[in-house]
Amino acid sequence: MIRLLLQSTVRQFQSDKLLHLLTLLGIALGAAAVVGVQILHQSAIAAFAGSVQAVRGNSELTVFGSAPSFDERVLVDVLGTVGVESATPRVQLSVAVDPSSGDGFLELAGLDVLSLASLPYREEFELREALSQPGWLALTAEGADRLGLSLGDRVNVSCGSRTAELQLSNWVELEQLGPAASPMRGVMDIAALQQLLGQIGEIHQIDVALVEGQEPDSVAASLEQRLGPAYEILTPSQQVGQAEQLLGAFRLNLTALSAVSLFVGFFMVYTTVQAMLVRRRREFGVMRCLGTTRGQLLFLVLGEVAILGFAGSFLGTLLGIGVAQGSLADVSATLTNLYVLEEVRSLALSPSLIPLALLAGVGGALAGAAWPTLESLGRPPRELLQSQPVHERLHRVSGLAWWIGLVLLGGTGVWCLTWGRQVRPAGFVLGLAMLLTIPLITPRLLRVWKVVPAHQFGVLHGLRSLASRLHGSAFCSASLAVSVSILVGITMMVSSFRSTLESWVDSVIQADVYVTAASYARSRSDAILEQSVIDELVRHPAVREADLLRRVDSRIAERPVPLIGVRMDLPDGTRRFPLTSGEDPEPVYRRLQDEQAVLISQPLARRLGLEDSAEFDLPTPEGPQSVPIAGIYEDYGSESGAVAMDLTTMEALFGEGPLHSVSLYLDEGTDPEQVVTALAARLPEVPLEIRSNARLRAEVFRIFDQTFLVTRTLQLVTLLVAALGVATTLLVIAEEGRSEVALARSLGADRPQVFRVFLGKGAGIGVVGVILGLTGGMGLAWILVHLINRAYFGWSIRADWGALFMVPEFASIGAAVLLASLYPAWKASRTPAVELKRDDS
Amino acid sequence: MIPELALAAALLPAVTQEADWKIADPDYQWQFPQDHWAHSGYRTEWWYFTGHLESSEGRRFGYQFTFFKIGLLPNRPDGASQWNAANLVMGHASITDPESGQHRFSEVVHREVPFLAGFGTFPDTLLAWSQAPAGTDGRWELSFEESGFALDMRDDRRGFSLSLQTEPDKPRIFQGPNGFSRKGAGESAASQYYSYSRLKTAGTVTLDGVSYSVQGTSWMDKEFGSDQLDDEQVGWDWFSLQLDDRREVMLFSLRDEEGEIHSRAGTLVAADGSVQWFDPGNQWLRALSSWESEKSGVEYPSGWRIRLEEPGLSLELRPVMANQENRSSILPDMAYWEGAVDVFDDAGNTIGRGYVELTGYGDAMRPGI
Repeated sequence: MIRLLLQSTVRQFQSDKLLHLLTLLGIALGAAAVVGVQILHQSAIAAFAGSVQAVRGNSELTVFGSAPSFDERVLVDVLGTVGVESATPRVQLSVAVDPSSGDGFLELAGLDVLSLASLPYREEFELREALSQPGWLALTAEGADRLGLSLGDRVNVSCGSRTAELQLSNWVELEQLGPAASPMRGVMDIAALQQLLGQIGEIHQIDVALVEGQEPDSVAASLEQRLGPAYEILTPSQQVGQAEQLLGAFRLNLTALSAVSLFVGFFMVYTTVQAMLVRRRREFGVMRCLGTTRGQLLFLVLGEVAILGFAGSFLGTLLGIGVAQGSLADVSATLTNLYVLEEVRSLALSPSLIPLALLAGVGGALAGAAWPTLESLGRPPRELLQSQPVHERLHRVSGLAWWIGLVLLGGTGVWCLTWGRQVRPAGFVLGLAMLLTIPLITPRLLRVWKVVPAHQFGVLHGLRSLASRLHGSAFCSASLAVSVSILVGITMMVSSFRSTLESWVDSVIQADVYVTAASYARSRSDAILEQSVIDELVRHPAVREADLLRRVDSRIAERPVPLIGVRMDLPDGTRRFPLTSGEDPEPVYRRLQDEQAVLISQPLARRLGLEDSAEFDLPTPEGPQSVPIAGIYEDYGSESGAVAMDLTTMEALFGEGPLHSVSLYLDEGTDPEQVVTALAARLPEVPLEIRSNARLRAEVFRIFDQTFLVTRTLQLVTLLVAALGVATTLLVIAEEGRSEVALARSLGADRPQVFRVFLGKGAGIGVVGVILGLTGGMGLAWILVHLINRAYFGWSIRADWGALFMVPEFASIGAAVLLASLYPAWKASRTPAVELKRDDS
Repeated sequence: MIPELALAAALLPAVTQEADWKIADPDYQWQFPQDHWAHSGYRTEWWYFTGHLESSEGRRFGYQFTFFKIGLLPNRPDGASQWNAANLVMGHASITDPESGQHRFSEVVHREVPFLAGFGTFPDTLLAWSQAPAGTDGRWELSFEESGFALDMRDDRRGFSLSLQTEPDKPRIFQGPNGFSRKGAGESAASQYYSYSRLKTAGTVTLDGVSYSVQGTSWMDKEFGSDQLDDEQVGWDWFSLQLDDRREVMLFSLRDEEGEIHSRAGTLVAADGSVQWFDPGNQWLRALSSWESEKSGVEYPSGWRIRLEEPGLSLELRPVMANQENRSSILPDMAYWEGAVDVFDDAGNTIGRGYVELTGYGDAMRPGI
């Protein structure tokens, strides 16, 4: 049976290579999208896990503070806790590399003697040298290579406005400990790192190894009890889990999008299998008459499909790896920009991808083939031997499918707006219902072409014929519509998001010049601006007013939340935090100054359900403190949320602390770019990022566009699959209609006429697909904007229907459909009149 | 380089003399009590207590308590960070309980950081201290007051603690002329070395939560120097014996890899406290048997015959139990044998007690001096 299956598969493939190749490519692209997204996610997590692993030794727990750094003397309490075998303090800093020495960031770990001495080095490790030589640094060999450093070379780095000259003194082979970790990583003595970068008395974490047999949970509980609520104790897997949680929404969106590619690929398999069944119905009929059982035939057909799916999985995995590799740099930039996670340097390929690729490829192919196969082979042999096309049934059920689709969509919509409101994935459920409804209502819609008068054998005839031959065209139109929906929906969502961001940026970015340390992008609250630097900036004669920003990185409800302290008394400063309520901001800002109240960002309010709360518990070094909420503000900077308050409130809650950013308001008529240049010249040795208002805006939108690059790649894949679907369907129609075409040809139709008929069919499929897709896309955009974004990111996006004028997108769809129609039309026009059979007459 | 080797290399003494370190000086100007406190500029210094205790119920214990100062740098580096340190503080403690047949060992190693470990300065009473081993609250402390030394340690995980006060029963003695103890031919191969050979000791020993009020006798050694061993010296056998006739004997020999003795010295303290330094010769020590540690795989000599022609002593030493090996879990390759012994005469009569230290056997790393 297996041999028969293989022979049959080869024969089928040879009988119509192009059709099978297209289907194979469709399956492969669908699988590639799913596998690619999974690889990217795995790689991001592996990079983070690698960084956790790289210098933690054998520790099973890590102590973190509620703020990124905490008092080093906490180590004594950790050491004194039962079950602890050893406790290793660590200073962990992202430092910016001076552009003259290279570019980018280095992750530096400052370690104590025993941890430092126990790492694997390439050259002999000299402890005394590591402790006494100023700027002693060991980097990974790859990191050193990237910076062009040889042993003994010096490199300037900065954290905040402080700079340090380090010397590459050894290579540390951290890749042995955390292979997927970023290579831009090094180790130093803890004292040197504290000193050089001004972190005296502070550490970032304590790695804890446990006595053999001790349960991490029980020791973590003891530590929690002993250290109090200002500390968090996590296992490495919990740390990775937090990163996974952080990336959850990002991953879910990409996964959903990749699943759509697969969904579209599924239609292609359906069409191909349907075509194959039509072509081979006589063969199957004869086989049934000769004693082949229905089960054996089912095995044969599904076996062939599975082999096709298997090949698609294999090809899809390779393509997926290619897609992931191509998108790696953008995804890495997004993760470091938005989530301050590790750089993703290489793809993490795990064996779990094989079942995933098989599920996507083979599973998707079998799912696509199941219904037509069962439906067709379920007929008695006599019916199979007859020439009645199996697809006529679709004609009969198109009305029922229409109503099922409408009820499905309507029911889910009602559920979403009522009981489903509290269900987080409700938006995805409604989106899925919409995508399922599209194929259900397509056959009925295609029947509208019946009204087209077709007196001549040409384009109009092609259009009209679609109404009577629904099976392939319906599925093709449906898959095109689904792809267009996704394209339109996501483009509109991104466009709406962008226009919302534009108006938000207009409101929020008001100062003329913004100054942070060069390392701020990665080291955030560690990137301190020294007072002398701030004084020098503010002293510029064109500066009319200066806003100062202090940042405390906190964790609220298990996610990182920045706490922002600014001058709430700044004249005309109320637009910096646009209130969602639309109320008069003056009294709100007064409360911020007089009552030590805070503003919370909309995503935080939604995540914690604080929309109607008057106060909430803010984690402080003294434990949670209840603070009044003065209002909720729009924010698109952090999906985990943010809290803004007056600098004096921050000082009351967190004690005195350094500043991280300065916003300068200039005298009327001053050119900000000139001031930027002048400030840079005033502080040539200080590693600052000085941006004018215009440059900061440009940077915001550069990051935004980069974030959606992967989305656009996946959109492209979906569109490509849909175009392949159109080509496949028309090829099937051309194949099935050979007799019909031959008859037309024998009756006098010339080749251009046949060509036009098939172009008409393509146009008909395309028009229905695009119109339906456009409608579905608008619905999907609404779901993305109002349900999914809100539920997963907490952002309010104002729908921008102006995005409907997406000329390039429609042009690309039209071009794709047209291109996909050309070859089948050409092929059909080549059909000779001698193909006419007695049975077809 | 594998991590353990890197660690060992870091903590073992440098084989070459570094000009910045002070070395032992035959003309060292002693100043007591100040010299009980730590000396900066030397690579190594230790306060070594060993002793025999007996509870009021007659239960016998042997103990060791040591603080090591291991110099990383001759001087503390400049800078505001508390982690800038010139030294590591290493503490070792053990208890031998012949009744249960158990020998327990505990250790601490910290950088000399104000909140983790350190050394006191005269005239404060504190000589050295450290946070207790991980998993135990509190500190290890060694202090000196007019009446003598007091030591406190606890290790909850290993289930023992010592809280002992000592008082000199005999005066302090120098090991070698003016306390200059030569260990080898090299310029630096010597230490400043003095001892209290008989300290009355009283206090509390706690084992698995049961406290024993104890009394007994201790021996205290204090040494400091830099790079005290010659290049080829890999370990030593050291003996401190307290005889029932109130005499004490200290003996050591330093071995090379082949087991050849490179250097040796002996001190006999008479009952009246007078001191005789002598060369025990090459044939003074003969091992009677051996014991192999199951845990470290190291084979140590066990039981000795000692013949000293110059003071005219013939002694046999038998360990009170074979397994008195100290194995470090912080420095995984470091193991040495530090154990209580009974002293017998040729007729087999018990004539005293002692402590023996054996280092550099097998592949085990020794404490760095």
